[in-house]
Amino acid sequence: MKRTELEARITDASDGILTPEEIRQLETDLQVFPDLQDDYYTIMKLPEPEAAYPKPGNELFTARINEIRKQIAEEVETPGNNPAFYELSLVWFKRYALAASLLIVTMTSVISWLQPVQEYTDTATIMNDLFYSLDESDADAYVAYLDDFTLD
Amino acid sequence: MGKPGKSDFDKIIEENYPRLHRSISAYLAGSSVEPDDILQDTFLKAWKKMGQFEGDSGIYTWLYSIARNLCIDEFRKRKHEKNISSKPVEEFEFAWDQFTGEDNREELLLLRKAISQLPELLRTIVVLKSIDGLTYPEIEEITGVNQQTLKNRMFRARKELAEILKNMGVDQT
Repeated sequence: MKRTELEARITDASDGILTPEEIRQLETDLQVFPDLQDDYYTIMKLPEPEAAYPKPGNELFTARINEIRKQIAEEVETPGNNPAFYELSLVWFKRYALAASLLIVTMTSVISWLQPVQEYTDTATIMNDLFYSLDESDADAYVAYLDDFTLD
Repeated sequence: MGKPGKSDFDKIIEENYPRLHRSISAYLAGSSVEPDDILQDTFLKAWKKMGQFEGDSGIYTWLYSIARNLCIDEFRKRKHEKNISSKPVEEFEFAWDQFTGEDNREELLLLRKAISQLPELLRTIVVLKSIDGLTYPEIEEITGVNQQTLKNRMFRARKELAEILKNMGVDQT
């Protein structure tokens, strides 16, 4: 048995949730780990921390509770301090951000798919459009120059 | 009970303030951070964030998470102050303390001091489990730590608590 498992069972024992039979089994298992056995007996003798903090009566806090209520009322009355929009934005953003982004991607895909595609068949025209699209006369001059050059 | 709204908030404060005060007092014992200030900020923040409360967790564990985060923020702000208490034992007393006798009083104050000397991670579990009486699944909701790890930390916390009490000279036989 692993030490961590035994530590968890010691915690169960000190939480008071083990049966007498389970406690006997735990004590047997602890014989293999003498240091853990010492810890077990020490822990079982600890005073209960709950005893250090007795439960206070509710009436002691009436003034503090009223103070908080007053502050909340002031928050509500302060103009421009309405948290509704802020809250809604956060909640809506978290909830619908993914759905909204998917919708945008789908819509743009559909629009681009529906648009007519300009078809090119003549490769020479395509190359001319690509390389000499701005000034056709320069392109012609350049081609003529190349022709001259190769003919020579 | 369904998901509470802002209209239920008055009742939420009234039902949770005393319990939360006791728990946060234990968590903050020995530090200079005032539980009343933390609780005031906790309820104001909770009121503002009420729309984000999904209702999956209990309202108390949700409030406790807010309060704990505020305490941690406050510790960060006051980094120069050591989190470990250097206050005299008497200053661990609260307005609502009811001690049965002088011996009992001294013993309980030492136990408070010992709890306050635990590291934050271990102190949180001792406060939530042993003082507040929450279950491990509820503590998991607050801390985000799985139950097996929580039990191992509880083991370490009790071991350290025993060591601190021994060093204080408290007889545990």
